[in-house]
Amino acid sequence: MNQRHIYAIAKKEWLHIIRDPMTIFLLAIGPVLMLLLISYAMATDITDVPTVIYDQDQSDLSANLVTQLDASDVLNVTDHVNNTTGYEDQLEQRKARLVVIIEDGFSDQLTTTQGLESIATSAPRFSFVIDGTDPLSAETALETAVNISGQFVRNQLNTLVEQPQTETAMLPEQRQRLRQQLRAPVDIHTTNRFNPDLKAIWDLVPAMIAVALVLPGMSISTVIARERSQGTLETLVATPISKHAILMGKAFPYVLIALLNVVLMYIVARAVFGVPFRGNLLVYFALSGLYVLATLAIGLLFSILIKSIEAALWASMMFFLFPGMLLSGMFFPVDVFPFIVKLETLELPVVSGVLINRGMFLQGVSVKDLWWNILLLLIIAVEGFEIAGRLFKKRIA
Amino acid sequence: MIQTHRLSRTFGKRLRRNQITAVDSLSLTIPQGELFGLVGPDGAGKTTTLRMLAGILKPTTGNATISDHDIVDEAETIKQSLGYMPQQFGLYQDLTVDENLNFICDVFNVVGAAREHRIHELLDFTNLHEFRQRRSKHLSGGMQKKLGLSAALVHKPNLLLLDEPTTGVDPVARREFWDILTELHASGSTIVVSTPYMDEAERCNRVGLMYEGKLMACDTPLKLKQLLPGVVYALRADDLLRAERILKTNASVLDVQPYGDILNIIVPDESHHRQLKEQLSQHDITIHSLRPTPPRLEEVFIYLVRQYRKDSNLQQEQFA
Repeated sequence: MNQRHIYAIAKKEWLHIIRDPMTIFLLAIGPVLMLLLISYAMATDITDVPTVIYDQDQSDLSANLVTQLDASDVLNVTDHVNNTTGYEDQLEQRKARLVVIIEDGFSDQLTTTQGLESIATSAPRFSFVIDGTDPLSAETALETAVNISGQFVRNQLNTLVEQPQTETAMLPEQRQRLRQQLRAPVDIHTTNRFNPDLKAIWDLVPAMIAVALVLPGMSISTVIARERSQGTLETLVATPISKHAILMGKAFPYVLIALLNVVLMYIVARAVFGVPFRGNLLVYFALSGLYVLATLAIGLLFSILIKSIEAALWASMMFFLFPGMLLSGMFFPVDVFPFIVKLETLELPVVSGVLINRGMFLQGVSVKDLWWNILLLLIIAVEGFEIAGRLFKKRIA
Repeated sequence: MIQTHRLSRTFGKRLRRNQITAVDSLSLTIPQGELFGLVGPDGAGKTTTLRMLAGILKPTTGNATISDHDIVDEAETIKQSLGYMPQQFGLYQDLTVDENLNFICDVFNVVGAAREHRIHELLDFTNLHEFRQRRSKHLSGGMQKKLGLSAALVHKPNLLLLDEPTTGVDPVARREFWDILTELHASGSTIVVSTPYMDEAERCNRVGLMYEGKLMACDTPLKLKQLLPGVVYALRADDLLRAERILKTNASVLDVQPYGDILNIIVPDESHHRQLKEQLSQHDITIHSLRPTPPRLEEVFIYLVRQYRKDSNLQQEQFA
């Protein structure tokens, strides 16, 4: 293989890239733009879920609870209703995602001695109705409401049990029994490793870096089709330049641009989103290089297999972009997929890319922990280029 | 230089009706130093033939060699000393004239001072000096063709394959282009050029007439004209359409070909002159002139195609 040939092809390919506004945009700005936009859009933590209260109890105590619910960041009490149809309408009109029903007798049970006695047999009752069409925000809201009301009831009971003898008709043995009931059976402590505040953006940005790097792969998938449609392939294949020189020369500028994007996105992740980086930076750039090579190998293979620009673009979109978003593990962990889909993800470099990025940024994992994904990427990169070289013929039909 | 033996190429799946035989058993020998014209209408198989010779299209059956190298097994060797210019502009539209030529120089390992010299020479040759910095998409059709030719000449190839280099080019540029070709030929290059234009064919050493994938005749223009079994009379008259209809009923007339305001009539020999005149007068056609005219390749080609069609129709009837 002739180095001058590779250089000649790379140089002209570079000129094609910088002279086509669409390509230069997609390659130079596309990934960083995608990282910024999607990360901002997706990583918004859930707040202010519209909540409607149906308070059957109508007491000071229930009003107190409602104030506490409203005080939470997640919930926003928008309305009060006094019958079932009231909140049904609100749910249908999507004015409410969560309905909290405080049943009659709530305050009686929590303020009077008879009420307290009856707790052992029947606890105070709340009902919650959620909008199932939006499970993500509804469930977050539900969890918050359940926690707040549970805590509220426990606090209320504690105050009652511990109040001075002069203000209550409670007998000492009664008090003792209630104390025992109120003691929690298990003492729970939670620690969030790697992401103590559970910031969605810390999780999303590294994954998004891997997904955004499919753009160069998509872009390279049209390089041969473009020469074919412009009639330049006919000239090129009639010269003595070797087919491997053609392919390597074409891949070269794309590798450079993709690596540049890795550096840019690393800076954006650290500086703009404040994501910590705990791995080895050199290892990270080396593995990103491998990941970039694997995506470009597949893109190049597509460009040889698919004869028209449009078809190549569509195929690479179906292969890179949609699975990149949905199957990469960015939103749904790959482990939960059915076996057949898991098998399919083996050939998607983006799955390994997401794991490597998350691992390097948040967990500070080492090469040893990622060996399986590194092996996969290596196989994809080597085999991709190898098969591309074998399938590419210096002929026009 | 070039030898083809029963070279054929089909497109489409075998055993299907839509299979097309683009080139059919082409056997051809082109010696070193010849300016050879491949002539025929669109779809005759000229492009397919040139592509096979350029080593970028595999023949279905048959074989061919260029300087004793097989066009399939040794395609890459052949490409070292071959200049191929496709019919469609085959250089990069978004690159300038200079960038395109430099790229081709890189590909053919023309470097250093030799490159400077060669590019200068080619730009002189094609008068493209002032357009060096222009993107090739902004060149006129004729300039694009010249740039394409320059790119094919960068490495001083032994053999030039030019696919319709003058199609879509204005008459002045066409003339210039042929002057360049003649100059190249004079300097010893072997050139195979395809063209749909008969006047261009006249400028070749030898001409191959292709039709429906077959080589119908192959010889010097002079000898090809002798294939015409008779003489040509050019008729100018008041009603050429009617004259054509009438003459076609005449058994001794071999062919009648309208050409502008002239009707070319092919008859076996001069003795038919009188008979033609009489027949036309009988039908009240006013003859302005009826003179013998030297045959051009055009008349020969049309005559051969018509004969070929007649024969193949006859064959089909026999089979049926």
